Amino acid sequence: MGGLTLTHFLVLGALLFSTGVLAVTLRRNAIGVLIGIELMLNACNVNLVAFSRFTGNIDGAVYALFVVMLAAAEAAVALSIILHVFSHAASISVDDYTEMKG
Amino acid sequence: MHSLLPLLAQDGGELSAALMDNFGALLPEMFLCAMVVIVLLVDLVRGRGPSPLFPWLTLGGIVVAIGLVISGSGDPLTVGYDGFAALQVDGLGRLFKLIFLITGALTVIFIMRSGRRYGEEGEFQVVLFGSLAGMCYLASATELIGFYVAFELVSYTGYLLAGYRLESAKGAEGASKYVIFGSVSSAIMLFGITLILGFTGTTKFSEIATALLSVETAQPALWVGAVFTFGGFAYKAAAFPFQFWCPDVYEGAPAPVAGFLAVASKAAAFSVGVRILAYAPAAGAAAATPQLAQLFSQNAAFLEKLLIVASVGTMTWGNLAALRQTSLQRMLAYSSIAHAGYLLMAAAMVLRADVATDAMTAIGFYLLIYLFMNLGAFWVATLMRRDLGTVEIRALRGLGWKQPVFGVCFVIILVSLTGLPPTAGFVGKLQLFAPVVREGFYVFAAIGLVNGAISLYYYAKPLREMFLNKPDEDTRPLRMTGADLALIVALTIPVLVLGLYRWDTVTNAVRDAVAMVQ
Repeated sequence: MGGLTLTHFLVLGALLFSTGVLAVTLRRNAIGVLIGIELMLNACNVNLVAFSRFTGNIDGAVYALFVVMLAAAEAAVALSIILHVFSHAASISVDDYTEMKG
Repeated sequence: MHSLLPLLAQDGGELSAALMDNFGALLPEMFLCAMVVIVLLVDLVRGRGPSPLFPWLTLGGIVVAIGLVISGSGDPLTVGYDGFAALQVDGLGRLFKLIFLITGALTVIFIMRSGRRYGEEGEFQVVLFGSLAGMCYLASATELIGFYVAFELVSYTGYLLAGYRLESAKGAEGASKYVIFGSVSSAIMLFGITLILGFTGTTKFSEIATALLSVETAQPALWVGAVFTFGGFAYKAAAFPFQFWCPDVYEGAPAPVAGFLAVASKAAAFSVGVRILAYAPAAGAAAATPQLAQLFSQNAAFLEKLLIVASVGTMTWGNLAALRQTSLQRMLAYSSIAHAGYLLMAAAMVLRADVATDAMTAIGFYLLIYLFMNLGAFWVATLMRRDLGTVEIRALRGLGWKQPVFGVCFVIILVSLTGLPPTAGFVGKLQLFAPVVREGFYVFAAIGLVNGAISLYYYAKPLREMFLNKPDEDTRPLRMTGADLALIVALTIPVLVLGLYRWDTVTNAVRDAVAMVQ
């Protein structure tokens, strides 16, 4: 692996995760928010696979497979609901979801 | 180290024999998964869209699942393969499974009588079965992968249920907030899990508890992982500071679905949370050296503080925000947040070895009662939406005089939600407070009591409208049939009976069930 250590991958994961969090908080577009969530999930995958590779414990890699599968399911559910909302509100900007106070 | 993939290393021929130990103990979950497919196929083969057949099919399926849970063997069984335990089917899990399934059955009945047709669509029942299967698996999970898959199954089906057949912009808004905040929080939880998994090298709750609770403060990565994971739970249980989504979702969703989310989804988070916390006392007792034991008690104290802060924040925020509400359904949403706070109070005490069983018993007993009283209140909201077209509390003006049986039942339910005698809510709350007082957290207990007093104010609002105001020309009665009335009476009876007598029988049964953990 050359000079790469576990720490490099964990830092990459943390950076990717932070990028995702930023996208979620700064994006006003619901699709943009969803992409941010995908980034966060993939940061987790980087962590899992890196741990698996460097410790020789296969659990992490198996876990990552499940995460990939669940991320796809999550995107399907979220997109279908946002599409549904779009037909009501004719907008996918999260700023327009303000009818209730919460 | 057990690998998760021993199957690949074996000869294909021996797979079936070695596949799983005690596979039969998973029968309720397998049956629920089978029902997902069955309902989907029936819908597909019929090809004629909605039919009253589907809710009945669901009810039948849930009754069979309840039968399977009850008839399961009494001893705790470990389900897994090749020595790797993925699930533990024990009394605690069985108790929670009954809570989920009864809630599911009542929800289906509510929807059938809510005057709206979405319950007659096959897809809705498919999603409901998926949700129940995920919850049942969650209640028995003892390792992270199965836990995560089941947790997400419950989440996704929850989003779909909340967003199903939206008729109003409010419902759409609630569902979209639920799915976005929910996805973010589960991604945060997953990041925490990856750190825990990486640094402890195991996916088992019991080994993680040992590893996590003997971490030195100099290794913060594990604690970051633990706090992130805790955040994911807090979101699901609508606990402070992740409670903000709850009122919008519950207000936007149809009343029966809101009731299902408020009871079953919350109970699911507690079922697995309690199981994880319950490993801590045993892990502490097994500490090999005095230094390790010292470290352990420091870390457990930190976790306890985290839970106490969450508990105080949750109940206080829920109760104070509920004061201003004029809509019954939104008020119930805030009240459900407050109840999660009371439950967290006992959850913090599960970490203490000498009251752990009491605290777990209290949580089980309270959720059992909460099922009846909270669903009773959501049933009233369902009826109001159907017959009055509104869930504003002032629409109940004078109804108590016009429909006394309904009025009295609703008052009993409200008194129980407040936690006053002679109802089961009082007994349940007493049990939640007892471990807190016994361990000397007097201020904590006092905050809980003050919160109970605050809740009296808003729970008394519908009571005032119903009985202290005479009916006027605007008062419209609920068009209740015998079945509608029977349903609210049936939900009130356990609340009253368990408050007056027989609570010790049920408490002992719950205690026997939770004592099997570990």
